[in-house]
Amino acid sequence: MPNPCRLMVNGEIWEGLVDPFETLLEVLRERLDLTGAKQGCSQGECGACTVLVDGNPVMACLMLALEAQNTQIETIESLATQELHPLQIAFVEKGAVQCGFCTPGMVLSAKALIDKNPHFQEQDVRAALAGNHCRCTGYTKIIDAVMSLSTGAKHG
Amino acid sequence: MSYCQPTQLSDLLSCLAHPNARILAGGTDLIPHLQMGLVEDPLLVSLKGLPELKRIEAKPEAIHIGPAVTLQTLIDHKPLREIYPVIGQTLSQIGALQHRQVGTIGGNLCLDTRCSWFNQSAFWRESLGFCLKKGGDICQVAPKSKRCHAVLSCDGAIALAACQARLVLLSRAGKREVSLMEFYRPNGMDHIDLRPGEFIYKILLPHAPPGFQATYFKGRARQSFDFPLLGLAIATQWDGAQRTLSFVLGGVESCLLQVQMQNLDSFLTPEQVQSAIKSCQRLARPMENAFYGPSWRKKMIASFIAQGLQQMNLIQEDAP
Ligand SMILES: Cc1cc2nc3c(=O)[nH]c(=O)nc-3n(C[C@H](O)[C@H](O)[C@H](O)COP(=O)(O)OP(=O)(O)OC[C@H]3O[C@@H](n4cnc5c(N)ncnc54)[C@H](O)[C@@H]3O)c2cc1C
Ligand code: SF4
Ligand code: FES
Ligand code: FES
Repeated sequence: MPNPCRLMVNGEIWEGLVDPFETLLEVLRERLDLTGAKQGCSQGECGACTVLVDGNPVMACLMLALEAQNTQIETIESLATQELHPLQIAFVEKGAVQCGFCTPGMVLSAKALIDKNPHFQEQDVRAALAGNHCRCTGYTKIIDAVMSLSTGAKHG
Repeated sequence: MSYCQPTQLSDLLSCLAHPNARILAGGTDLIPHLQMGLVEDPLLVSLKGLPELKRIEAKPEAIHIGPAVTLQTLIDHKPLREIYPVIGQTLSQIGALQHRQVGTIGGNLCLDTRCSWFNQSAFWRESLGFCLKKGGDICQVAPKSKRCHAVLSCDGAIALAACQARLVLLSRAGKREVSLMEFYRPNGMDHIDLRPGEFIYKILLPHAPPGFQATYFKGRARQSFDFPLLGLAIATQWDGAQRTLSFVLGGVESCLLQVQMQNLDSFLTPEQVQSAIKSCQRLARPMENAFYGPSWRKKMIASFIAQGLQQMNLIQEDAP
């Protein structure tokens, strides 16, 4: 039986009826047309569906839409309003994007880290991105891109 | 499938009395199971509406941990980190940050057992003819066996058992307390001692006994995130003038396994180390149902015990 659901996504309220088993990912992609969060495995294994819930990275395929009520949800679409976010610029400049499927999740996991600890080190980046898989880049350029924004590390 | 979010404990207990009720805590185990058709038509009972289940309180007799406390909250909890560093050490090796932010300790303790023939899509399992644990009548791993050998895979239980945690279980019929060791039983299709309508209401951690020290080792395929193929917690404490040692094993049976050694001196002799290794290896009966097979898991028991005892300074360095 559909249940009423009220979500706060990128600062805007969305209200609708959802099935109990509709995931946050399905609602974002299919009802709100926010297709930045990708559907990879639907098993919590790849991180492509990562969004921020109250500032923390969460796999949207593992969260029911009904459980995401009363939280602040941020998707990749909220990052670039007028211009690109510094993380997005760093990903472009360091060549950290190939097919781009993992990129929204990577950028949001990195954003959660940077927002909490601007002095992060490489080991923090590796830990923060451990749940985000990339089939293309080999990770080095992604780590370089995020590290280029650390205020506590030397980079070239 | 339906969903409810009770906001009173009494309503939660009424919802749990429904025959198909399943608690939805963080959902990081239950939702993949639903996606794979391993759980059918449940009444999902959310814990989101009950803030009292998210509390950590230090009481005179024990630290009380609510089942809906997330793994990351426990990792970041400073007083707990000081008393029982092994808990943070262990929980930070569970899944990735995304799982630890939403995954709860109650959900971890009730994590379903895992098997490479079971954690598969319905299509995959159907092509094989299913198995005892879901929809079939034989165990694909041990066809002559009457029980399921899927593996206990919750790291948190292994560490908490080494800290002698107890559980308060609650249902409409009342409250009871069990030790974590007793909570698990050797049958992968029915591995936890929860009666109908019952749930983990609290986790009780005793205040650390004198000289308590513990460490955790996890064997897995990928370091980034993966379930344990072998989890070993080693704990020691003083009992008067004698040392006690406890080895808790997970990832090798459907329940936790434990080997205890008592009346020890400050340091272990090489014979005592070998005896600990042999006892643990004898007790563990890993099957061919995880990414690494039984021989690797048995060998790693020896390696983890030797490393752990060294790290905990329980083996005397040779005199120069
Ligand atoms: C890719 C991936 C990797 C993972 N790696 C690991 C790992 O390395 N180690 C590990 O231990 N776990 C791992 N997990 C599993 C999981 O993230 C954690 O174990 C988590 O703590 C489970 O908690 P939850 O709140 O999400 O559980 P849920 O999915 O909400 O619940 C799990 C089960 O417990 C029951 N339950 C929940 N709370 C209670 C309660 N209070 N009383 C009674 N029953 C209850 C539920 O009904 C359900 O059957 C992984 C998961 C994924 C998807
Ligand atoms: S151990 Fe046997 S019965 Fe249990 S899940 Fe695996 S194949 Fe199925
Ligand atoms: S789609 Fe969510 S983790 Fe892969
Ligand atoms: S750029 Fe293709 S998956 Fe990462």
